[in-house]
Amino acid sequence: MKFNRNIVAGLCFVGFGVLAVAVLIPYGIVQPPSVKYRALSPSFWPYIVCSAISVIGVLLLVYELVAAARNRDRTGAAATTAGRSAWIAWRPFIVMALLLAIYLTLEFLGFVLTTTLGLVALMLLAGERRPLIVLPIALLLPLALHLFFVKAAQRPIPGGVLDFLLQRI
Amino acid sequence: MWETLAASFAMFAQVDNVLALFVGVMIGTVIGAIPGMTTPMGVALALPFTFTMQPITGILLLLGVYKGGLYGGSITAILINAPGTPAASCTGLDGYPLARKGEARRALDMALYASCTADFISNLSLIFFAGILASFALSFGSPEFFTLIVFSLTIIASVSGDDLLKGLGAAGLGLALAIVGLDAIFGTPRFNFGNFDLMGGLNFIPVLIGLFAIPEVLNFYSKTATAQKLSALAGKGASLPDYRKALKSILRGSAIGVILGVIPGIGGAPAAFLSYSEARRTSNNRNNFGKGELEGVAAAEAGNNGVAGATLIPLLALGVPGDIITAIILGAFMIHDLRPGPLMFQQNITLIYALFIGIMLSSAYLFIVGKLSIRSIARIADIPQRILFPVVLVLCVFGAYAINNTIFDVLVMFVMGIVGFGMLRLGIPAAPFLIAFILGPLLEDNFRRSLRLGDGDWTIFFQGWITWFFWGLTVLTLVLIIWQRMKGRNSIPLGEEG
Repeated sequence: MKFNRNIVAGLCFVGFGVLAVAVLIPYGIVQPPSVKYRALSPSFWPYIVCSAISVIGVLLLVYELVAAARNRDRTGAAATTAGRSAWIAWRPFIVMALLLAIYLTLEFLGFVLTTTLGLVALMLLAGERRPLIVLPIALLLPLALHLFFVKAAQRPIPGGVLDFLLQRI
Repeated sequence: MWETLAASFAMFAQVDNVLALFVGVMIGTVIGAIPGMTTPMGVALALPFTFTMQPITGILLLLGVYKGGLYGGSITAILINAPGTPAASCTGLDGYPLARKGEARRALDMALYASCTADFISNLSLIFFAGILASFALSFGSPEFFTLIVFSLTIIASVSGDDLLKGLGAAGLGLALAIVGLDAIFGTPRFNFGNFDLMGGLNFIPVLIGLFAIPEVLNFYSKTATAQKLSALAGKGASLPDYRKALKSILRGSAIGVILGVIPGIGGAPAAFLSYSEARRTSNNRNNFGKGELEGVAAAEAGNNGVAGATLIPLLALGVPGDIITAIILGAFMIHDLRPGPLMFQQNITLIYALFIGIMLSSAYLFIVGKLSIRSIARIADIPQRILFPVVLVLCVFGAYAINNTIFDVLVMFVMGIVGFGMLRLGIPAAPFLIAFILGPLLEDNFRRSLRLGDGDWTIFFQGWITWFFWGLTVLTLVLIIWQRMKGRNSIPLGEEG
């Protein structure tokens, strides 16, 4: 599959800019009852910034379309996913799903248990299959980080279901 | 004069002081190197330990942590592209590609040499030009700040690589993200959508880690095993010719760091990026910047560390803290019944000179601590990526949480990581996004404050020589950028344009 990433980037900029100007700013910025000058309004700066993003997106699209019309060979603009197996192509999305799972379980299971399980899954996914490497790292690193942040840096890292054990260390 | 100096030396030359400074530099280097542990956090953590110390010992400990932290931030930026500080993200632009090419030690060495040189120059400026530079900093009002930040934003062109439009778009997104939070003037919510966690805006450390470290992790998983090359990453260190070649950029970066450092509220990141931008603009190897150029590492670190001594100028000369760290150090002075400012130079000149002696020694300590640590730290880059990247991810999770003790920051980091990965795949540079995100609130606040000050009159942005100076620099820089890009385009043979 081949796609022109400059066109996708241009569409993203235009899409974000239009969405912000049409929806996010009117509904996401609370206006004070009275503003002396327009430029002092809380929405003045966001309108300028988001409009500029749209204009940049349009310029990027025009530039790319003109270049395509001239049929120039634009190396670097095209990105391809050909040659990669479906498994490899899906791996970043599996990691993203893992990130979501880590976020959702961090407070309940605690940092040590969540990141231990996360480490095992991430290392297996990356191709590291040696138990003598995976297990010690997955067990010791989160524990060491927990102890460092709690004892040395005085940060209250949630212990979750292992809290009763971790507090005894 | 000589009697005062002798008394100051006697005050400084005690084992406690010498040790406190050394330990401070060591702690700072370690803290700076941990993603999520910021230098202000390190200085704040060390503060309670100074309560029972002599004033000079306590303040030297904090100064050591400060200086070590500035350098330490670059270590993880170079090795795993997870900058410990915003300024270190600039070091990572060329440091990380160098590490990937097997030149981690060379990059770490150059970062250390540039840091020590810039720190030394900054310390000298503190000692000799405190008075002059403090009065220069005092002449900065909102319009002057606004024009300075507009000029600083020209850096975006330099860090955008070949795709200026994409760089500008990324900067726009950074500015948009910086809007999130409460309005600085009216206190009304902007882009909060009722979410309490967004009231204070987004913390820059989770954004920073998300933008730089997480995309690397995701990108690693998107490659085939054959693409995951391992190399002898520790490699050789930087040589004297390397240092000599980068010296011009180091000196320039140090000067930029000193000038920006004396202005309260600017910080190391704009200095690092501005220094990098100037080095790239004037370098014969400008096309190699962003791909692993040693001079880029040197310039970024020089700009970053050039602010170290200079930020103490408004603190010591005027009693005005320029950033969070100097505010904490001001607190340490006050705990010991000392009030920095002009009076202190009359009443406690012995202490001031003793501090100056300690500050000068800190540059040497930085060199020693850096040299001792590099050889072992560089081995991190030799760890196979299939182990290193999962470990980096876990480190980032702990680091992002530890900043404010909130799970929300972990979510911000993950979301920014996915956004950053998307940007990476689309060839949108992350550095302009980060620069705009850091400078955005300063730019908008000073823009609106100036207009309020001038009663809505836009000519306030053209009053005084400083505003004209920065407008002039901005125009000159833009003209040079356009000229260089046109020259570069004309020199590229047909069909190779990118």
